[in-house]
Amino acid sequence: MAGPATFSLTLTDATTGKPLSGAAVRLEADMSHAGMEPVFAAAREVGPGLYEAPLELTMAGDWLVLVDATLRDGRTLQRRLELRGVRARGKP
Amino acid sequence: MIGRFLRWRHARTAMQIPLFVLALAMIAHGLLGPQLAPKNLATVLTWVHYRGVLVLALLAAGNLFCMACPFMLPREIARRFFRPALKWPRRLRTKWLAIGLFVLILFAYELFDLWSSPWWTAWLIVVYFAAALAVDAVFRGASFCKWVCPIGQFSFAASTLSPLEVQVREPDVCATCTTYDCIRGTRHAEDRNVIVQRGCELTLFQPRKTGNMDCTFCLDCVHACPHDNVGLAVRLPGSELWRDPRRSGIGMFSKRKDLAALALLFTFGAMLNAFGMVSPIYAVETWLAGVMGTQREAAVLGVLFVGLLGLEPVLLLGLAAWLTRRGAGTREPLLPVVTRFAYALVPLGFGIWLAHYGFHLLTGFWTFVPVTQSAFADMGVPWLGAPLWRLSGLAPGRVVPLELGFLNLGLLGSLLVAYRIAEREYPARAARAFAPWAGLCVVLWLAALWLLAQPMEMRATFLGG
Repeated sequence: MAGPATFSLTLTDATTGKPLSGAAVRLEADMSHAGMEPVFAAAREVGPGLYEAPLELTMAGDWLVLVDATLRDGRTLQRRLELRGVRARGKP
Repeated sequence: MIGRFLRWRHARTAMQIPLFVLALAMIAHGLLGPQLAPKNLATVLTWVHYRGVLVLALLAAGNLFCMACPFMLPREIARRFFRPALKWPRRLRTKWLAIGLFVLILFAYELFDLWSSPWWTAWLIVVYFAAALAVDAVFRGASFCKWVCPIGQFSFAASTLSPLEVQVREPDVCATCTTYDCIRGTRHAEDRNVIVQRGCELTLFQPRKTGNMDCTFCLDCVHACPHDNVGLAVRLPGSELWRDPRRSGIGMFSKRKDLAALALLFTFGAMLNAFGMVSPIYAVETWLAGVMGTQREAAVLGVLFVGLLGLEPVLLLGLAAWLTRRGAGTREPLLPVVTRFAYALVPLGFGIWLAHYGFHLLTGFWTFVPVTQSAFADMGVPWLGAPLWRLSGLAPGRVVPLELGFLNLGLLGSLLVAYRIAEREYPARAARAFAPWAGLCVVLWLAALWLLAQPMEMRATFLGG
């Protein structure tokens, strides 16, 4: 749903499966249409390896969320997540 | 009104070169840059800036994009080395081919979500360059502009509402002219077979030219006229829509079914293109897919296009023409009535295009700044600094009054044109002949207002994909 939203993600070690705590996680959300301002947010850790960030999805439609994380040991990771079909408020 | 710059023989080339360089940059960034529409020059400049500037320039001045068209530059260079020998086939000397291509572009825009794809947008520009070059390499004159180019047809239709027109200044001077350089071109003083300045390539003979239809503002006629008798003049926007003289290179509007169809496509295409960016389109598509028992978007879109660009105009205009016939007390066939009145819808159509493209331009106006900064940074030359992604444009809510203004202006224009056509065709029963078309204009205006009130939704997927 367009409007204020909370974006949650979990970081886990691919080999051990353990949650990755203490990472600095930044998010950028872009619409699939040109001419729209991107939305930026910093995530905070709310549990072991669990991060949440407030995102203001300013319009209904398809969004792409770019996740940029710096782990405690200095390693970095980038992920591109698709958030398709965000609906307008009050619409089924 | 021709200034010193426009009088310069190379003025058009000087305007084409920067747009050509920009087009090359857009192609390069579209193919090689980030495949994210808001961060790519191809998508940002094409779908936000180009479309918006195009319609605003047509409203404020005239057919300025055709004047500075970058697609013509490679063709101009190529023609220095060879001359095409063939004339455009007589059978194709109508707008039907261009109308088909116009529909195809509208269809591809929705099917392939061109607005979200830098790669496809770049290829669209490449194909445009290639098509312009190929057509004009084979056929003489400005065949591509006059008979093929969908952007050109869009601009020709919209430019009927522009305040500027290339016109003869003193008709008496033309009456004494014996060389007709404005159409034949200026010949070399010693070798009459050599043309040193070409005349109109779109076969518009200035003394008999009326309005902006088919005029690319190339100013060849201005440069060719030995009497300095052709220039840019201010006129009443839209007045050419209700006048029906025999126009040079065009004929009479009332006899041209293809031009009437272009006017209708211009209007109903505006509605369809705007409909494609609001929430209800997805409900309609989902419903249609259920009825048709298919998940293929091409099939669903095809039915939608046939309905909105085919059945809807046929039903609405057929009804209006039938009512006009009854009101005017005539027994003429419906098609000629539709053909005469179709041009009345152009102002409303233009109002919808202006509202739609003006919205994108004004709400995303500054987005070219961070995208350009980012493109330079990606090339390893961060001279323009870190991208200022916060730059966008006006808040959507602040653009709404302007959108309403465009729609209202379009409605008023359409009502005026419809009345003047009714007066011309049925002087004794003008009001009765006008009433159905006024009703149709109001219905379309209400539909456009409803579209404007819908929440925007830009999705590349439907049917829950």
